[in-house]
Amino acid sequence: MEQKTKKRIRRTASLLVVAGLGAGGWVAYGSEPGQRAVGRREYFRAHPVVEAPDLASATISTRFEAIRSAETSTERYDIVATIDAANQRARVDTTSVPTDLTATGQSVPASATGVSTPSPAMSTEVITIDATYEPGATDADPWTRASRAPDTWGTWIDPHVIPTYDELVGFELESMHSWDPLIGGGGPLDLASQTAEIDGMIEANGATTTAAQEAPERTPTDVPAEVVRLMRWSTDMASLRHLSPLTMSMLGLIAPDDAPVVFTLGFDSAGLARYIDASISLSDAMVGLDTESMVFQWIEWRVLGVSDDPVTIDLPVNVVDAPVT
Amino acid sequence: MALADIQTMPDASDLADASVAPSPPQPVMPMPTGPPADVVPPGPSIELPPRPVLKLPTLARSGAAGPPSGETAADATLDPIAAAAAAAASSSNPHAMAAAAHFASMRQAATMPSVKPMRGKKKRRSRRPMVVKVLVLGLLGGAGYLGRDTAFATRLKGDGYDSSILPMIVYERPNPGTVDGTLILDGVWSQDGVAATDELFVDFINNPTTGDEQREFRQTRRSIEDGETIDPPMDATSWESISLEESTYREPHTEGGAWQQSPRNRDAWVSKLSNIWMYQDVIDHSLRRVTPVSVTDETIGGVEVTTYLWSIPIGEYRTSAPFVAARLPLPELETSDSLVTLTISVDSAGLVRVLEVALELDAVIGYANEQTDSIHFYRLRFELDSIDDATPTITAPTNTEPAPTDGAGG
Repeated sequence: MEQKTKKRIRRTASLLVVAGLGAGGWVAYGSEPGQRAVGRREYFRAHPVVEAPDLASATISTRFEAIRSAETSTERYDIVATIDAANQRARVDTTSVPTDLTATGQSVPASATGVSTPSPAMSTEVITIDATYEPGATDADPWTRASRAPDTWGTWIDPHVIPTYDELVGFELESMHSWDPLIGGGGPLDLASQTAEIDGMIEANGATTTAAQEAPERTPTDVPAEVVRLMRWSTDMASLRHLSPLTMSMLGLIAPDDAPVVFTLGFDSAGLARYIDASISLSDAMVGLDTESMVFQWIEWRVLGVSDDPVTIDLPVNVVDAPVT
Repeated sequence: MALADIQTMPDASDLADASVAPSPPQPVMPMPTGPPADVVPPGPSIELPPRPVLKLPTLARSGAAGPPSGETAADATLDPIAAAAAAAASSSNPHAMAAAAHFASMRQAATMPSVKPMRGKKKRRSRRPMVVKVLVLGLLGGAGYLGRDTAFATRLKGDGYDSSILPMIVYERPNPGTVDGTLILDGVWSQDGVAATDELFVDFINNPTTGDEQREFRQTRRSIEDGETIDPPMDATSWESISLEESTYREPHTEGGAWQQSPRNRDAWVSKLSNIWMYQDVIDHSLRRVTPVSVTDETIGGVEVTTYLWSIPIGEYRTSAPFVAARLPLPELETSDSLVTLTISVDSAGLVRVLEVALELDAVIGYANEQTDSIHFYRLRFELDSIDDATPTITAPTNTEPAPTDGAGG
């Protein structure tokens, strides 16, 4: 056989192989596994179910900064709830620190001068399935017991007090740009809205003034070590109500619809929420704030610990029933 | 050396009678043509006695065995080169001997690449390629094992795919000037052991951009006997309210009276529910995993919609439909076998035209009898009648007075 003929045969064979590979690739691309591999079947894909574990106890912290325009002040709350899940009891320790906004400029209302007059108030509450207990003014005074409807919804003894990824993140929020603010290491989050200033007309105590006010600096906290997936979005309050309605209902975040908000969620390896944060700049939070209302500048929710070991929360013995209103 | 070059090498037949019919190969030195005249005197050919064969390289070519060491010259004649070598040796012609040696070396070089293994004989190979293959396969296997849970691997494996599941679509949110809809809130309340239903219709028109809203309320209360509501109603009232940026105005109780003005509560229930809801606002990851009882294509208010109907045990309502449950909470009935009926109608643009959650009335009546402190909703229904690009004209009433206590409820 001549060399030319052999070369021609080889060339034809090579072309056939290439064509065959191309055709095979095209068929594979159009096949179901191929379409799945390139991500064109994600519309019809369900997340694996994340089962909320049956925990015996948990400790959850909630901190938030509430702004009350009536006093031109903020009030910082630090709440730690110890939950006895087995007996549906919780002890809630609350520390609140009122702080004045730092004001500069002219015609500053008297109540807005000076920096921070901390007078922390501490309170404790015990919650059961059908009652709440509050201590008296002194240790010698009896606790007050108030009955309530046996709902756990939205309370610390809610079996779903630690939500899952699927309960917080819908596929619209999932499709939005997010980023991990802690890539490269853990530690406190550097939130842009820790300190903010507001310039312009501020109404307080019946006086109108032009001033710059600064919220007291937020003490950063560490993201729980169990967080393996940290996601942050930048959106606005009105959108956040649509994007993560459970976050809004469980945190009770109050802020103007137009306020830009930095929203952060952290999940552990099982898909359970360990960290939630929503932060708004002071100036945006105070837009439209009237003398009667209150808004939040930021709110932070953290799971400090969960355990299979039960925790004992004793009910007070010296108790009187609250008067029925 | 190329195969073509090898094929042009002198063939054995060319050398078979080298001393008689020389065929000089190219480009080597000329073939021996017999001893030169000055070396071999002319004369009759004589038959020389056999001599020892010149030992030359005799690498065998396929099918042509060279004379092995120790073979006789007669055997060597089978191989033309060996024969030529023997002839050269016998002639003692140095040129012929050099040529024979040259051809022998040429044949050795020519045959080296074309040596083929004998059929049936196993070729001895190095173990190195096998080790490399094992290593490559091991690496591939290890990478596959480590990456078995990556997104790509789970896609290939087909984890979680179900063509019958509700699609994960994010519809574009419209920005209309007017939203026209209806809210229906049905609840049960109990007082002194007597249960009654409270039905509240709210027809609303609002401007989603400004939040201005005009509402018409119709409230009807009916007593309950043997688990069923009784007509005529105990009480039926209706009123209108207007909510603007900072205030809400409620229609006066008496004709010609002043509208009651109160600060607007934007966080009130009605305000939260009187917005546009999209498919992705109510269909979440959890609800997609719950198979609807029925899926129906129908027309509601002249709009073609697809209606999904779920029946979910009350104990699983929050985990099965967390996005809906966060907005429309239902009483936590202790009878977890009570069913929540969830109805969602979505049009082709992804707008939710109907959203309803409902519990069985009987189950809620029993619950309300135990909890007499508040109303307990057992049916919440949202209907989107229409949206329009034009903005509604909603203005504050002229005759107003501050409300004594509460306003119109947001």
